[in-house]
Amino acid sequence: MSSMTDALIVVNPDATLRSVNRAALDMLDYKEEELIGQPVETIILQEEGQRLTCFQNIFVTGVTFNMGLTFLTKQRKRIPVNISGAAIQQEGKIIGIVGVARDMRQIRTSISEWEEKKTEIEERGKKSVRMQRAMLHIMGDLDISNKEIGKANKELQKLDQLKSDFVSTVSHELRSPLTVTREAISQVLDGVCGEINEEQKQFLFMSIEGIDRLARLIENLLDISKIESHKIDLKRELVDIVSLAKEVSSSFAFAFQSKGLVAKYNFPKDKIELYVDKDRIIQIFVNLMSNAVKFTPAGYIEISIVDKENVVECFVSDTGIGISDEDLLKVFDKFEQFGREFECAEKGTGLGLAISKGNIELHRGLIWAESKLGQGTKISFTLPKYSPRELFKEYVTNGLAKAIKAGAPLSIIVFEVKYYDTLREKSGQDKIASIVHSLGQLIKTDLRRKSDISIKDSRAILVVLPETDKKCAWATADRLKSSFDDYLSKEGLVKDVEVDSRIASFPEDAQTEEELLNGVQLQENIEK
Amino acid sequence: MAKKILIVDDDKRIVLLLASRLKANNYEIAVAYDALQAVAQAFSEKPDLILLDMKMPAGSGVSVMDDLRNSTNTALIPVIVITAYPSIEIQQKVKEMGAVGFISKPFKAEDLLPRIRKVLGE
Repeated sequence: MSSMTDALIVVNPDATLRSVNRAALDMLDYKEEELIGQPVETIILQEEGQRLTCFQNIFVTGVTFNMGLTFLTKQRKRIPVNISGAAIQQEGKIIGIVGVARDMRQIRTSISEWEEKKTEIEERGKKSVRMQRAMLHIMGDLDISNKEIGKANKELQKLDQLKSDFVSTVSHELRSPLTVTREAISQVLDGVCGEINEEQKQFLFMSIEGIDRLARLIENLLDISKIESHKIDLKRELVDIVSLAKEVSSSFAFAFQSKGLVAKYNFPKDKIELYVDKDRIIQIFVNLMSNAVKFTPAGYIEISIVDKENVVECFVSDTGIGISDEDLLKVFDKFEQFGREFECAEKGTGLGLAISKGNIELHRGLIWAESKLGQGTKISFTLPKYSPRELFKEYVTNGLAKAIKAGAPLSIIVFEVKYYDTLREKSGQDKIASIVHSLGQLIKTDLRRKSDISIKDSRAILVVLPETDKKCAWATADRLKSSFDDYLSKEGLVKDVEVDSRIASFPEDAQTEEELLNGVQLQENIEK
Repeated sequence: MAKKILIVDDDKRIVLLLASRLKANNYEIAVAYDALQAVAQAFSEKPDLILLDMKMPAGSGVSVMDDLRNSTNTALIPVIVITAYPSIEIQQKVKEMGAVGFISKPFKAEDLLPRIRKVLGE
């Protein structure tokens, strides 16, 4: 009771004070002993005696009350309070009244404070209304600026498009006069128009070289403009990167040899099939190797392929003149050429590494350079490895995109070896793989159009048939299944191996790539 | 007997140069400067091979190939496309239409001549 913050008084039936708490004593400025036993009028204003009667009446009625009173302090100071109380009963008899008084000054102050606050808030409200209006104006302005930015952006895109179109048109238009010039000089050089002397030959040869360099520059410009305007369509297929790198390396063998450079190859034994645009990857290797040859006066050139978990990492490194730290930062920028002071027979276009970077990024790979001036350069790049499952999806996605664009139907068939797990335990994984491989070959020989493709993993084969509706797809599937049966019976496998086939067609039973894949139950069945 | 090659290009200088090069290699020559002439010449001259440009007046290389394929007189004449616009789409398109070769400008005689010999079975 003493810890309460509100004043508490207990009144005896004879209207004397029985007890008061600390908050009451503090409020009234009395000591406890000065109040106990005193009549309640000591602390309650006389004028309100009338109400005190009511106060006393509680002893008769026992009801709770709640009323405004005025407390008197020892110094006769008046304190407005609001008092709530209840009769204390014992065995049915009222033995006292307990009252809790709240100092109304605080509340009044609070009220006046509240009123002040209210005014302030209203002021603020008015201000905020003004601000809101201002904001609306600003928003309006912003909207206009936004539209202007959007417009400017569109203009920029248009300009960018114009630039790309310009580069493309100019590059193409340059080809015809270049053809005429090259062929005319070449015929004179070849003696088609009569004998020429050695000096004439030499000069004409120089001009042919210049034309060829110009032609390369045009090709590269076209490439970079296509990469920058995202107009490149990758012709992706499964390519063994190891044999591709070997092929390119062997085409450089003569160049290495004639400069007295030693070639070091670090290739994995097994093939690594990647889903890439073969020509683009060849272009990257050619680029890196010709740079290496160009900038390496002596020593060796190393070409390496490392099979990592999710990517294949390749690098071409040399013991050449190297690139300074400052230049290394700009090595993939357009038209940056380094080591110019170094004598080289063939000048570059300054676009090779920029194109390589664009090509690698189109394949969702990474490319980076390390170099020390005077010690050599190493350019590395990665290419992602796709799981068969991701590949299947990629083929379906591409096929569907083409079908939608051409407004033509598309069907996909999945052939899957049934009871794969049991079969694997019984015959071994290699056996199944070889069966699936043979079935894949059968499909490849059977498919009649170039646009039809098939791709397999260890247990299933996906066949994508553009411009084919469901009915024709079933016919194809039946034809293929009967050729499977012939093969399986010839091999004596008919009892063991059963091949399941499922078909989904766009637009007949699937609209999206997901629906197509679900239609052939590819989601659950094809292992990663 | 010398094999006959029809050169189709709207650029007269290129026709002149190709004719000169091919004559020097003992081929007989017929020429055309637009799509209509090309089809007419293919019918009347019955060449063993056509070197066909893609972009030209009165049609295109594609329309010429279409016309040639639709007539039994000319359907079997092999076509090598020579173009300044060597896009993948055009390459695929003419391949599907039966072109036996695709060469981009500027061409080199050392690439072109072996191709021609191969197509003509020499």
